[in-house]
Amino acid sequence: MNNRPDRASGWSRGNFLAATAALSAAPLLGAADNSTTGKMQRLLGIDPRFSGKGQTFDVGVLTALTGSGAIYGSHGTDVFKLAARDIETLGGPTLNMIYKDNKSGDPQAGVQAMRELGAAKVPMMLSTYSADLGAALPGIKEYKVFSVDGTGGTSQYAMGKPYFWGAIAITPDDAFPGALKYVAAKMPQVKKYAFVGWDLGPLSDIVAKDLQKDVGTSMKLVADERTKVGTTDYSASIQKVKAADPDIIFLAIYAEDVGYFMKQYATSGIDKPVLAFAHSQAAATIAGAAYEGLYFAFDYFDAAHPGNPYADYFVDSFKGMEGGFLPEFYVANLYEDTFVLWECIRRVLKSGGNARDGEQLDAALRANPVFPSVYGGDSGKPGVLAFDVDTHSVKKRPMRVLQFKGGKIVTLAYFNIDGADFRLA
Amino acid sequence: MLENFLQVSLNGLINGSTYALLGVAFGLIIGVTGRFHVAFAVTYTLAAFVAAWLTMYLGAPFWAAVVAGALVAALTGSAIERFVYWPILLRTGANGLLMVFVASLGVSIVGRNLIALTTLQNSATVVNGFSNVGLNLGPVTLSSLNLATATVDWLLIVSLSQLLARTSLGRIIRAVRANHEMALCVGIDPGAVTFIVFAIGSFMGGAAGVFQAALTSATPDMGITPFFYALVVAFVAGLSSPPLVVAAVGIALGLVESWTTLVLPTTWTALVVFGILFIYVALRPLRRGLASA
Repeated sequence: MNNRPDRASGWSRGNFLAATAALSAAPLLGAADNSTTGKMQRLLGIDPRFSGKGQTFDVGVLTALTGSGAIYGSHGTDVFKLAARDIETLGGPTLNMIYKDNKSGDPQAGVQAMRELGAAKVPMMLSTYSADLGAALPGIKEYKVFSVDGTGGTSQYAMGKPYFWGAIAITPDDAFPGALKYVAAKMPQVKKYAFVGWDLGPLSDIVAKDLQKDVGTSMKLVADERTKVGTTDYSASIQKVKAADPDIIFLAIYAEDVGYFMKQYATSGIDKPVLAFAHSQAAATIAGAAYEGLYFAFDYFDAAHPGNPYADYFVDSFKGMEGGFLPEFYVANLYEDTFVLWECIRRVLKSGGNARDGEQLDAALRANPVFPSVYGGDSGKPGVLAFDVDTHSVKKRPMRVLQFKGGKIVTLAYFNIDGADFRLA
Repeated sequence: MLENFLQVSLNGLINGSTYALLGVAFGLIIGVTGRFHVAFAVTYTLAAFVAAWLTMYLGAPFWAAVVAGALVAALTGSAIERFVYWPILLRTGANGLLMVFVASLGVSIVGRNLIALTTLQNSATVVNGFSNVGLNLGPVTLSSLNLATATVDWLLIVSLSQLLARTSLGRIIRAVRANHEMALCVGIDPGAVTFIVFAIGSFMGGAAGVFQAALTSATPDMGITPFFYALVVAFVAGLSSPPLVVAAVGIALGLVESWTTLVLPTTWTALVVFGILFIYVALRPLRRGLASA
């Protein structure tokens, strides 16, 4: 669909079958224990001989501890701690989290963090902001720090970068095809579209071009509006969109910015549908009633109906920590990423290798890029998180088209990467 | 085309009204006291959070929250003057303004981080209670919150203008602004005047902060950009200019910023604003030179 490398390679049918077999065989392990812990151990295929119990592993965490995204960093650190606690409960090692501040996307902070983690010989890392918008990638390569980013993914610029893996659909690119299928099916009157996206320099041009390629000749672009990350005043952008008179607006801005946009859009005199590529409770709170009717297309985590036992375990654990609050996709990814690291540790231990070596951890992922997931699956088994070993992004990721209706998120359609398996709800 | 121009101009007037209020508030403080009050950003932010907390957790009515937020800003601004700037100036004398600037910078950093620490666990902090609707005025659209914001902005600006022009307190404030030492000689207590000026300026800035939080949300960093706008407006207008002149500069800035989006990408608007300040600073010595020639 676009100019990124083909992701078909590296995730063979054989790998998938092997992973499915492993997940299916999980019940054979620890068969006697019917407690929640025992069930999870079987579900994740944890072999106590190679679980790392009693050992301590250093894990770097590069996230926003200060700056505009500090609220997400704060929630993220809570979830990393929760995941580390649960891993220990499930018979795993102690994960010694070493937090580094990316100052909400400051490249210099990312470079400095990698220098410090490299000097401390930290072999693995959980990152956000696509490893500080690319600035940390050279350090990850130099110090061979096996890294998983579950909030920004690889984006376009970090595809195939050594030791760096994106554990989330690339937004908005991966969601475009499915979103467009929904628009074609349910909004046949849409012929002109406006694109409003964060101004991320050349990356924004790639995103806009990808959308245009996916759209093809079915719609005409009438406004391409770029906004500063974190801006709160969208009056000028909305006016430009209004003047262009589109039939639909694709909104490639994220986090609270979606709420700010919608709050001003609702009183702008335009009544055309808006389709965004992320939802957060913070954005909904900011927008208030103006959020009503907004469409989304992304890898939504339905915490109210988790849908598989791994997700159930995570949601229960999270609710216990947060006093009953339900988790969003952002923290679900961070939790899952921590378990990906643990699985790689287990694989290396099982092969008799050194699980404190980033290179060996990376090889363990490459050898079988398939992991249990809190997304997808069914009541008997977890979903599947599959990486592409060429692009280092996800090969499969269940996504949805949704709408905020009557104060709730309603699913309108299901699809996967590149619009595969599209079906209306 | 005309409809678009009118809408863009209206947006400029709305934003310009807020820049005007910020410029008048900051200009009053620096013009009368000489303090380069960077912590203006903190009082602005604090007012927004206080108003948001009152509406979110206590269910306070919107307008009560606006007043309460602005009053907390006024008290905080006065407290900063009394407990931070004033003691520094007592110790350092005439050369103390640079120290005050450094201290103000420190207060703004500490204040911003304290607010961030207090609010980090909250999902989003918003000022509730205002029923915002779109108002169609012929070819243009305006939100009721924008209308309320601009109305309050001008109410405060005109009130200050009247206070300075028509009351004895206003005359005292103008006397201190014109000549600090002379005011002292005629029995005016510049310390008390400074205290009052900080309260008035912070109240006005705080009100602007509350409305901004109602339009968007309250965030620990929200005071930084408005501070720079206040700075630009106050400096371009001149630190001894009357409030209505300063406000006119704010409106002009809002219009220029908005009209810029007709020909340039919206991400360039900040460049235009600070370009105006740069040109002003660069040309000012030239203008003085021509005047003295």
